[in-house]
Amino acid sequence: MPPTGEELLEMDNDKLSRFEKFRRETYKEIDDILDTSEQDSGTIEQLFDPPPTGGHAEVPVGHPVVDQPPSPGVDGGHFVVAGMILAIAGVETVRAIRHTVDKWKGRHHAGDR
Amino acid sequence: MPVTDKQVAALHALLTGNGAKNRQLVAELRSGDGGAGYSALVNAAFFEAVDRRFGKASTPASIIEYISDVRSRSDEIAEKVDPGVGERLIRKVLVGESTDDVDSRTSATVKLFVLAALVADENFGVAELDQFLAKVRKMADYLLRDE
Repeated sequence: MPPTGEELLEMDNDKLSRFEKFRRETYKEIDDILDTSEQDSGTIEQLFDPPPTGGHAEVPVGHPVVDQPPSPGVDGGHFVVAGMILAIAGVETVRAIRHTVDKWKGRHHAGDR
Repeated sequence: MPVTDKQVAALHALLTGNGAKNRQLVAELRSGDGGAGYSALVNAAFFEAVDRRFGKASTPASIIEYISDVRSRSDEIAEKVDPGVGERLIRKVLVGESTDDVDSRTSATVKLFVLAALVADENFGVAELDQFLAKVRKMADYLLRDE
């Protein structure tokens, strides 16, 4: 006695009865399955393409990436300029004080005469 | 007549993304009257792949979501996979829903695309794919046997 479908396919009765429904389609769709295989196997190949990796990040439309201007900050150049200004200001201050003192001394000596 | 090695080779080519080899073998099957065995293999493979993916736990939402995901993979695929038919064919495997009113071309096309997507998503190794094909070959032989 040949094995039953349940024994042959190791399916329970419910699953086997659902599978049996594909018997009619097997014969009904022969030409369509052959035609689709021949015509669409190139498109079906796309399902096996690896997902794109690496490359550049996608930019959503309407949100262009714009380089931001550098944020203001203090660098070495700023310290050099500030140092020079302070030095000039210092020299000028010393010169002005000396000039004032000399002027005062001159008046004082003139008063002595 | 039982399934032949050439019919299995044609399905193997389809399910490994080798479209050129699939086309060549299918043309040979057509001229040699091998269409029934190949159709039985596709139907058995579709049944088995759906049962593996959704058999243990599925909800109506997960079926809709999956078909939507398959269609999102390219515009050409979206054009070929009718979402309503895809969902109904999956429910036919899971709960025996009828698809008798669906025309055979649409049913065949959706079945082939969804089958390929399910197998691609399984990421089978060589041995696993061979096991899968051995199982569906036995199932296809059952569909072809005289009642």
